[in-house]
Formats: sequence, C-alpha cells, structure tokens
Amino acid sequence: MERLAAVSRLEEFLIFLGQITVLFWESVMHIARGAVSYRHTLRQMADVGVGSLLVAMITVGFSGAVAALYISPQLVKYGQAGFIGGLTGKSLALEIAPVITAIVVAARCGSSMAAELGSMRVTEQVDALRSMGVSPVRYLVVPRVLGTLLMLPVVTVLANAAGVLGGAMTAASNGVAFSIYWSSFTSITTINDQAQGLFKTIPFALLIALISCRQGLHTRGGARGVGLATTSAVVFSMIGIYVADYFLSVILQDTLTFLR
Amino acid sequence: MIELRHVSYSVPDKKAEGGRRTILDDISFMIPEKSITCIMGISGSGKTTLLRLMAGLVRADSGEILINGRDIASMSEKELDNIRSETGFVFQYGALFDSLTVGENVGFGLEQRRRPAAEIAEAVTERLAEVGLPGTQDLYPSEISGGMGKRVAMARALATAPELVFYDEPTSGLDPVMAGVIDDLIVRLRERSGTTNVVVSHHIESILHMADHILMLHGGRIVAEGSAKEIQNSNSPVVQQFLTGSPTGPIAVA
Repeated sequence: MERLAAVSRLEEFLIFLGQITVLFWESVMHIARGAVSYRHTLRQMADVGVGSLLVAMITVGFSGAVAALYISPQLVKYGQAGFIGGLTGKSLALEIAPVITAIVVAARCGSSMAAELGSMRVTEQVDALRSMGVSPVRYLVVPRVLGTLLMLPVVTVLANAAGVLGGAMTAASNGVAFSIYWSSFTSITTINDQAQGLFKTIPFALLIALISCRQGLHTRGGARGVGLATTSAVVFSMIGIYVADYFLSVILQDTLTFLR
Repeated sequence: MIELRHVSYSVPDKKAEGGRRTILDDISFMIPEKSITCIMGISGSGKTTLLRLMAGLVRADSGEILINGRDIASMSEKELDNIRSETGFVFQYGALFDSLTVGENVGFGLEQRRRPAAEIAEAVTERLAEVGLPGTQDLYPSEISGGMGKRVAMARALATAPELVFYDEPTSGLDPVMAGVIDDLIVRLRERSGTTNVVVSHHIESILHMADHILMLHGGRIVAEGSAKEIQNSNSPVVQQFLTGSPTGPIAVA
C-alpha cells in the first residue's frame, strides 16, 4: 500500500515536471512567433519590478547588514578589516541577493499569479479565453514569464546594492571606514561573482513564473483550491529556487572562470 | 452543421471499475443548421460536458465530433483555436473577465483579432443595446447583477458574429421574468443572425418555449430526440418523469 502511494506521488511529480516543461515550451513558441501582448507584459513588469523592489531592497539590505555584522568583529579582531567589504559583497552577489530577491518575488508575485490564474480557472474565465480561440498560455502565461524574466535581474541588482550599503553601515558601526569597505568590495568581489549571481536570476525567474502559472491554471475546487494553489506556488517555487541554486552554483563556479 | 458519431467520454475515478467513470457513452446525433437545439437532462447527466466537447474545450475518449464536416476531436490545440474563434460560448455563470469592464469584455474577441478601435467600439455599443444593456460599457462585472452578467456574456459571445453559439444553462439562477428575457433574446438573436444554437438546460419551460430540436440525455446516453411536441408526447418513462418533475420513476434521485 505504501509502495503504491509512493509510486502515485512519483507519478504526480513527473506529471508536474512534464506540465512545467510543456508550459515553458509553449511560452517559448509564442515568444518566437512574436505572439506577445506588450501591454500585459508591461503590467507584469510593473507588478514584479515596482511591486517587489522595496521589499527586496529591505530584505537584502538587512541581510547584507547582518552578514557584515557577523563578519566584521572577527576580521577586525584579527586585523583583517580590509576583507569585510569583499566578503560581504561576494556573499551578496553570489548567493544572498539573487536567492532572497527570488524568494521575495515568489512570495509576492508568484502567489499573486497563482491566485489570479486560479481564480480565473475556477470561475471559467480561462475556459472563456479558450472558447474564443485565445490561448491561455499566450494571453496569461507569456506576459508573466517575460515580466518576471525581465524584472528579476533588475530588482536583484538594486537589492544587491542595498545589501552592499547595509553591510557598509554595519561595518562602519564596527569602526571600519567606508573607503576601506569600498576598496575591499571592489578588489575582492569580481565581475564573475556579479555575473554568476545575475545569471541565476534567469532560471529563478522561469521557475517562479512557470510554477506559479501552472499551479494557477490547474486549480480545482473553488476558493479552497485557489488558496491551495497560491500556497503551493510559493512553496514549490522556493524549493525550486534552492535546488536550482545549488546545481547552478556548482556549474557556474567552473564555467564563468574567464571573467575572473 | 454539427454531428457527433459514437462519442464517449470518461473521467478518472479511483472508485469506478477500471479507474474511470463513464460520463457519455457512445453518443451519436446531428444538430440542424440555424436551429435552436436544447439538450436537457437532470443535473449531473453530462449536459455541460457534452456542450464542452462540441466546443472543443474537452477531448472525447473516442468518436468523431464534426463541425461543418471537420472532425474537431482529432485536431491540434492550434487548429481548435481557429474553430473556437468561429463559435461563441455563453458560460453558466457568465465567466466574464472580472478585471475588464463590460465594454472590454464584449470587445475582447474583436480586440484579439486586432480589429480597429472604432469598429470594436461600434460593435460593443450595438451588442450591448441588443441585449438591453446600453450605456453599461464602463461598469465592471462586480457592479452588475447576475441577469445582466448573463446578457453581457451573450453580447460577448455574439460580438464576433459566430455561426455557432453554445449556451450553458443560460437561465439558471435567474428569476422567471429574467429567464423569459434571456429565452426571448436567444430566439431573437437566432432570427437576426441566423446562428446555430445549442442550449443546455433543465428548465422545461425555457426548453419548450424556444427549442426547434430537443435531445434528452440520461445515464450517459441520448434517450429521446425530437421536436418540442414529439418530446412532450414521448412515451419514454424517463422523459415523462423529467417533464413532470416527479420524484418517482426510472430517474434515480441520489
């Protein structure tokens, strides 16, 4: 019985992966054909970009401050204050900024995408689109994929800057001058680090938009179904982000060495 | 215009034998061109599923669904989009896009066809006037009543001048007066536009009032077919129980 349940869950997971892949492929095909609603894409860009920017800057800003808070006393103690800016900057560029920004966007925008599409699904609005010969992928998914894809890197860069600033302020409170922090940041944090972090935002954006749209479009069961779709969109996106982050980090560490 | 040949449809159901529950079982019928064909049956008899199959919104397990001689059951999603864009569908609860205004809802199909803004505005005004809702363009679906929503949904379905219109329970949840208004509207729009109409309903009065052709669906099969008069005179116990609304008879009440 337990084995049967496990097989059933594996089957569900494989179907889920298949549906995400189909959604990705159909989106790519629509984009390649130029079947893109620029008005809707701009709206999604505003939702992802403007809507998430402040939250991302606050969370990454404070994460940078906390990173510097833990690093600073130790390095100051051993006379290595010149590494604080670099280490904080590296952590932010490679991991903290892209991952936390992606989590913020998944929580704020992914949930909203799943809820909106889920609500449309249970009130037959998605079927209404199909009944008029309008592809729900073209009309609903493509603008969300493009909006997230275009704005997540921008939000990440600005959140990263907030993190660097947060780190500088904490370092300053530990007696490290801004010039030392900045000099350490510019000499230790490389373009490669920034590029790696920025590159990660592409798969993260795809994961957030595709998972959220998939959860929304497969919503069943009224208001409770919309709630479940919303929650699962955020949870699955978060898991996807962390799993992808590990594998991307392993791969990117070796492939972007030419930028060092 | 529409012909179904040996169409069957089932859904996954772990409790059912073979893991699937049959909704429609080997159904065949024809819908005459420019007619108002009503599909009647008790709740849960598969009427809406049948309508959605004809509209290409769900796929049959087997059989052929011919619209103007083309089998939509074997079409790709893209080919189906082309067919669907030539039809109109009025959903049971309207399914209006709640983030768009009434006017944007009605003009949606034309906008997707990239028609000029002036043409869309004219069509929206005309269709809304036709369904008795002039001047409601700027309202949102949440600001109108259920009956108005159904009429907006009709205006949206008819805005692209389809040859074939599907109505899913157009009078359910409406008071008798509003139900009569909707019935008259369906008849009037057919007379004006010469559309072929398929109406799913279990409201006997509505069906007998407007139908040229009636199909009775029960137990996944068509159990009776004919004109309103033929159906009323049918000696099928299922049909008679449905028409009289008797709780006793061959129709099992769960």
